Amino acid sequence: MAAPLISFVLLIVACFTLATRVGPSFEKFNSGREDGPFANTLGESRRVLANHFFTRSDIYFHSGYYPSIFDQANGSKENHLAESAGAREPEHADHDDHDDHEPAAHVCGESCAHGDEHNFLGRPKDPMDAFTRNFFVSQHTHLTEKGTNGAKDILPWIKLSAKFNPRKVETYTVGAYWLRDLNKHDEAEQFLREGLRANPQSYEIMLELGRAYFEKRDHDRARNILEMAMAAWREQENPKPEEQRNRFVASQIVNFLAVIEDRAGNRERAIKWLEIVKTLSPYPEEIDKRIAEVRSGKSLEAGK
Amino acid sequence: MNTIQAIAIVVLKEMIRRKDFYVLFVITALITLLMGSINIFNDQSIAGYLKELALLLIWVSSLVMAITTTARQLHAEKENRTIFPLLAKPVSRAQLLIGKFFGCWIACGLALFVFYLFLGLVAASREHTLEIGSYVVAMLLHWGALAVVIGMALLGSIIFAAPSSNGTICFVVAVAILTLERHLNTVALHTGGIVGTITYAIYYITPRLDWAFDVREFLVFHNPMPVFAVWFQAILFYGAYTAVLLLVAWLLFRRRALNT
Amino acid sequence: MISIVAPILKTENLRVEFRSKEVGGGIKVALTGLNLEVFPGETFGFLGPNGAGKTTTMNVLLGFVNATSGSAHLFGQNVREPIARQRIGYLPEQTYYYKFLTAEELLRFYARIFNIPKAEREKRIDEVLKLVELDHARKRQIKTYSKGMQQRVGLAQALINNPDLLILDEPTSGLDPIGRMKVREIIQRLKNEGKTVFFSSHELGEVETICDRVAILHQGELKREGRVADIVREFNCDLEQAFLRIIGYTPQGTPMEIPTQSHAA
Repeated sequence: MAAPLISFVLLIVACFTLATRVGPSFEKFNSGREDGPFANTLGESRRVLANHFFTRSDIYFHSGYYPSIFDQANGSKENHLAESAGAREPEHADHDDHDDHEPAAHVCGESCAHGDEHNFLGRPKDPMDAFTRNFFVSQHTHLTEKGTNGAKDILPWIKLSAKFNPRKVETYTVGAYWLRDLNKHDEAEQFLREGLRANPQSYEIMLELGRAYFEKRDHDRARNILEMAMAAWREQENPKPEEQRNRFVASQIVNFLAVIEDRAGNRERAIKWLEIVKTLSPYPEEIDKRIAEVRSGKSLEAGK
Repeated sequence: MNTIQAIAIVVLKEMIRRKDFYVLFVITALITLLMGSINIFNDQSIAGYLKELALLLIWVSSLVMAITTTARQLHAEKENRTIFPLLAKPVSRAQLLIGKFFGCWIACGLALFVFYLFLGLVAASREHTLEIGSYVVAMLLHWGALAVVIGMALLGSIIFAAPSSNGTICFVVAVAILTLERHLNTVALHTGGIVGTITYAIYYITPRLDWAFDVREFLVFHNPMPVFAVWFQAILFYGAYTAVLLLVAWLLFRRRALNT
Repeated sequence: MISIVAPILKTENLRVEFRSKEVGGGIKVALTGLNLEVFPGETFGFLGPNGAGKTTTMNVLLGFVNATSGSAHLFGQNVREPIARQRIGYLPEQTYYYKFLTAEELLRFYARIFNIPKAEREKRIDEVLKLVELDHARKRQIKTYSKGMQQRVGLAQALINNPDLLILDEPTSGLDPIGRMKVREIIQRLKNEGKTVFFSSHELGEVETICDRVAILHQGELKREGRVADIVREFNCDLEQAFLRIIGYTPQGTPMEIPTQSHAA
């Protein structure tokens, strides 16, 4: 009777001793890793799932009309769900119509002809293919065409994508765009704050948050967050202009700051920001015109 | 006809008393209701993702039910030796096969009706609208596709010794057809050569279960369903394909020796 | 005036071969040139040691196995046609039925196969369940039955269509003495009703009591066919001893004895 009891006690003591020796090393090993059930269970594969869910939101945006992996292998893939949200510079944007003060509205390039089957599907390859097209979505449409709240069906996939990979910045920016489009401004703000908590240095999210405050006319908060966004961009971007990415995002940040200062009547500060826009914009002469207008006392938002 | 009816009724009774369907339905309902309870940005009217999830679960459940039920029919009859008193009656092997087919198919049809009814109720509770016609068409196409799957499993139960191997092969083939069939012609055209020709032949020979599978998107995105002439042709195609599978099964089964 | 009655069970030169599934395996001959006739109203015993070919013969008659050559007919119909089995009842040696059905449901299922009209069907179900003493358990699923009860269900399903020919494969196998007695009573009753019974059994004492004629099979060949009384008289011993002699069985070290006059009754 005594022997098993002694063995048991010795075992417990050994376990606790080991725990105290191994614990700190284990914590050190784990310190750089993310916590949470998804991170621990799925590991890196959750990023794949997050990308899949984000793609699903794009599929939903197109009401199911989307190239398969076989079609994509032929090089046909359009993703303007994110372009619509301003998360990406539109590839086919007509820059003459581009309003520098507002993010790009959804633009359809040649690849976005509504009701046009001559996209990735092409003509039916055989009679069976022609018949089969009756059974799947073979027309290019957008969910937004199905009613005012048509886009709400993409939200669950956005939420899932964010859940599985909180580090994917695009999810938050795109999600916020669509939430605002659905008049869910509070939810958009909350979503962006969640994204910022997970990605504290993301200037894209800061931009969207600044946009949200701007639209609410909370200029002080907008100014603060946008200035932080600009600082983060400068810190992360290459100092050489020819090697900078995301100049489009930076120009949006600075545009907003210029408008905010203009609204507040701080003309000099507004001009200072416009000078920075000039360095980022592919059309500096247009920006010169805006600067001249502000100097002459005209508001940046005049004529809209 | 009486004989086929009688055999089909026995299969139905077995399905009901085995409780397979109830388990699958409860799992589907639980998962759907759980996913439906998630707060998506304070909007209770979002139903697209729920319909997609529910339809996927319905397809998985129906395939599992159809294949496992059918795969064990003949094997269980032989293992349990119930086939001997049955075939000692004026029952031909063709009648046995057809009776088993109809029993499994009707059972799956009843299960599908319950599944789609549940889906319709869940969707209607969120969207406050229900396109009954679309659900009926989707369900009929689904049922037609299951006829082909059941035919495949019956044929497999004559070729393969164990229901587990039959079931696995049928499931793999069915899933492959559902997900890849539509794209085989694209692959064939880009592969070219003898491999491309074989791929194109497979594209034409294999049953087009993807027709029934892909119309889920119409339900999810509120697109109009194919017109009657089109989906009716699809059902006729499924019927013809099933008949061919059953004919081949009969040709193999009729001369098979059954030793007591 | 001689009236010729057609046999209701007839085999002509029935030969059954089985190919071995092993590579290089040969052909096993289960039956060679079996010629058998069973006439209406007879109780016919089909005897033979294990592996003699009795089960194979029954499998051919019931359509489970196809003959390699020769023919088999039931009621003048080729056994390959399902209609040949319209007037028969079959009780297999091992009785397994759909465990999820009740006895009543099982009998109703088989009655439907025979196209028995509904009213007559229900009456017939009541009759056979009373006959096999399963009336009290008719609504219970078969999986709850004892072995004896399952055997009785088997007998009930063999009688559901009021068959003219009953094929029984070792009907008393595995039964206790009471069960065996009940089966013998049922066979006797059927005999009195003018039914034909064709059964195989290893219980030669029972066979001697019940059967009119017997056929003795050994290694796929018909060794002897005839009236029980004639065989017993010929060998001047009981059926069991006669059976052993016919199949050529001798215990080791004992010379085979030829029956003499002094052994006669």
